Amino acid sequence: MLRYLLVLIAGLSTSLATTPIVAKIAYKIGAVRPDVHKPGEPEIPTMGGIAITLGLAASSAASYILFAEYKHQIAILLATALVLAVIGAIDDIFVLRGIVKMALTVVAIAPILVAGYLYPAETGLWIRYRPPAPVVGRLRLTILYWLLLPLAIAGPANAVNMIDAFNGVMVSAALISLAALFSSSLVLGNELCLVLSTILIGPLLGFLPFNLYPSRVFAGDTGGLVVGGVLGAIAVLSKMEFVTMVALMPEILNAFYIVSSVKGLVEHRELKEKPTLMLSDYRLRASTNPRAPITLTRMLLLFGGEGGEGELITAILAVQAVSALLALVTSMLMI
Amino acid sequence: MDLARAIASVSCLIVAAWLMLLAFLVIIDRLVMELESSLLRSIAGLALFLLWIVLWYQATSRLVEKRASELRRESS
Repeated sequence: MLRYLLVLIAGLSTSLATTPIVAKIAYKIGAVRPDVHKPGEPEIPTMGGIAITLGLAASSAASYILFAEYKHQIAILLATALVLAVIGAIDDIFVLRGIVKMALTVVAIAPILVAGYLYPAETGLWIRYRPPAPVVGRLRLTILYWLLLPLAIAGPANAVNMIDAFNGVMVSAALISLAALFSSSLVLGNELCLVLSTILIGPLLGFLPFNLYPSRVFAGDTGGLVVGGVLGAIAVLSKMEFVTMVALMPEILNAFYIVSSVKGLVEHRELKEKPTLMLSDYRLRASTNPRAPITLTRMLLLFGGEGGEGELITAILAVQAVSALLALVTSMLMI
Repeated sequence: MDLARAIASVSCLIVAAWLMLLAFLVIIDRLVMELESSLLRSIAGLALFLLWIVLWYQATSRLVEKRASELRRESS
């Protein structure tokens, strides 16, 4: 218990201490974005994900010492996060096209594949690996698993990044998903997943006070890609693919609807038709244009009517909590 | 905003997707896993997975379009 607490404190204190510094640097280099849902659209420093990554490095270092039996997995997790942080930082500064970003994030599977090849026994990534699934036990789709594996990091990384439309939503939603993963690990007795989840929980808790509504710092693409990609890496490394997929269903469905309805991978700035319309009082209304992309926010507005940013944040987090409960039930079906 | 209605509607979609995922797994286990060849199992599994995705997208996009057209009628 003490070891987990130390890992948590290492990550939390580092991101808490570094977020204001990262925000100042972001201001200086012009990495700012307007908060379009607030009157006057104030400029908010982005790239807060750098502070999350620094916190992740600290909690990884602590867990590397305290949980030496999982040092391979911890090193892979950190390597994946660093690759994604570089891609995210480039995106925050230069704004990459959606398809380019997706292609680059596929590369982030490299640490897992290389380590799986070099240390198959330690990482448990065998060629004939059979992923555990609810109800049916283990799947025997060994070829399919390896075909889909390149998307195991890129998928959640981009999906989590795409849900970051309102203040604090991405970080809060990720914490809810991590709570689901943590409790599912307790149900399944998966110690590795407990350790890897704790590594990410600390930095997110340290960053959250700055990112909550009204945000003083945005996580940016750096934060979205790192958090999503690390969740994907946790899933693969700790064999919790199905539980993670269910815990991230709002993000996955949101990304799936956007990609399907616009028929391609595009940045939100590239969208021709906006899914929501901003009213004069800064409340949002769902677009009724048949060509507007389907998003989670648009669906909430279609079914619930016009709403403000605060209401939408509550709604998205409530849906995320439902998904987290389903993830917990999924883990119970895997016993 | 009717928060309860919005949350309940989207949560129903999430629960439906989850139930369909479980059903998909059972179908895979009962039908696809009976196939001899591993390659054939993977092709059939992938085909079923894609079919599930297409059906899911069609169903939800029609639901969204139906609600959007209701709102269009109300506003006109």
